[in-house]
Amino acid sequence: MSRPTETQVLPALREYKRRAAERLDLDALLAAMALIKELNALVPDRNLMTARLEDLNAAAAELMKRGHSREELQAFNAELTAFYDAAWDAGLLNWHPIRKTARRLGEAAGESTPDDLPSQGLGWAADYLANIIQEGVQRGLMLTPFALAVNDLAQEGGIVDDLVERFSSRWSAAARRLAWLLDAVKVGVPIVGVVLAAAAWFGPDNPILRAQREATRSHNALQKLNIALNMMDSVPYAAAALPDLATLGARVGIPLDQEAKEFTLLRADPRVPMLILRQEDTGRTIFLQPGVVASVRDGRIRVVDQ
Amino acid sequence: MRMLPYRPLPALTAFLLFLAAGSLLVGRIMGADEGLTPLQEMQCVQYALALPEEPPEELTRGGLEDLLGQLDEKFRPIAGRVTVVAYEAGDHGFLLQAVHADEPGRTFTVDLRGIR
Repeated sequence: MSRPTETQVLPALREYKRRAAERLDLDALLAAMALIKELNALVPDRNLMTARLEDLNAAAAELMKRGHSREELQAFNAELTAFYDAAWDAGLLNWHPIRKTARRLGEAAGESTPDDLPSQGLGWAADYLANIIQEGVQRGLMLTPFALAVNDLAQEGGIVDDLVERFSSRWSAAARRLAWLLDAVKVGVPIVGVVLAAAAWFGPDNPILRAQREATRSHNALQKLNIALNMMDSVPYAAAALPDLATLGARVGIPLDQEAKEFTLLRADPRVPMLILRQEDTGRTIFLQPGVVASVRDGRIRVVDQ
Repeated sequence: MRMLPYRPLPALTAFLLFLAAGSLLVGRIMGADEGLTPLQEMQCVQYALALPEEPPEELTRGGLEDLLGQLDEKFRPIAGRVTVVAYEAGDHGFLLQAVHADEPGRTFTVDLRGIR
């Protein structure tokens, strides 16, 4: 692609003519091309390729003074956009004054890199919005003082520009500037995740380790209670005389004060013998018989032969 | 160090697969609720009868349901699956003969010491 220069108005005009010939009749095409040439003579440097939107508006106002009607200029507005589109697609423009899109350095016409796709999509969305506004003007749904007022609307209202600028160019530039931060996040998030997981695993709130600790403590307590259970049948007593495990421990000569804090004695039957206990922190009901431990909780029963 | 490009969709898919496999594994380890066997349900009956200081003089279906409810509210439906063939209570505790609906050919003999 050759770089656009000030001398490329005519190639742009030829490209526009080639395209427009498919949809316009000869008279309309010649009229549009005549207006383009007239407009070209009114913009600074007599070059539409370097003209800004303000220059086009001023030139359009001058055309109205010269006697061109508002309707004629409104219709011409679409053709002028088509002219610039043709020049843009042919790579003859670096800056589209109506759509307000800029070509990156080294970017060829009709090509795009994957990085451009979001901005390209937004560009299409902007075109779509611009077309809606343009159609509204042409159908009389919107009133404009000048033929190119659609572009003024876009410029003043800022809808199209805001979309393209906010979400495309600025975002892309910000993303490029903050690439180091994204890299840091990519490395940092797994590290933080591993540290948090380790802290959660070894912390006091880990239900698996807590269950293991509780199981160990319960196992040790049940071992002592088993010994007390086996000594129970040799000691004559009334069942009602055993209000708690501490009393039972005193009776059989095994200190059960610690176990009394954890278990509530529901019933002791020396005939079997059997101890029925409730483990307070888990809510389990435990049945202790010689060689058998059964626990009941939450609709489940677990019987272990020892 | 060359950074690999971050691709959110494969990362999210892998994370969801990790969660799914992890929950399956944890569910397997912790044990899903598979219900009780007839023998386990008869053990529930045994411990329900052992829980009060003195066993009831008579054992009706409603009485058995109440006893099972005192042991654990979720055990109440067991009473509907157990048919009492014979029951007696005395100084020795109790002696129950019962048939479980899921094992109709077997009569369970239950007392304080166990099930035969």
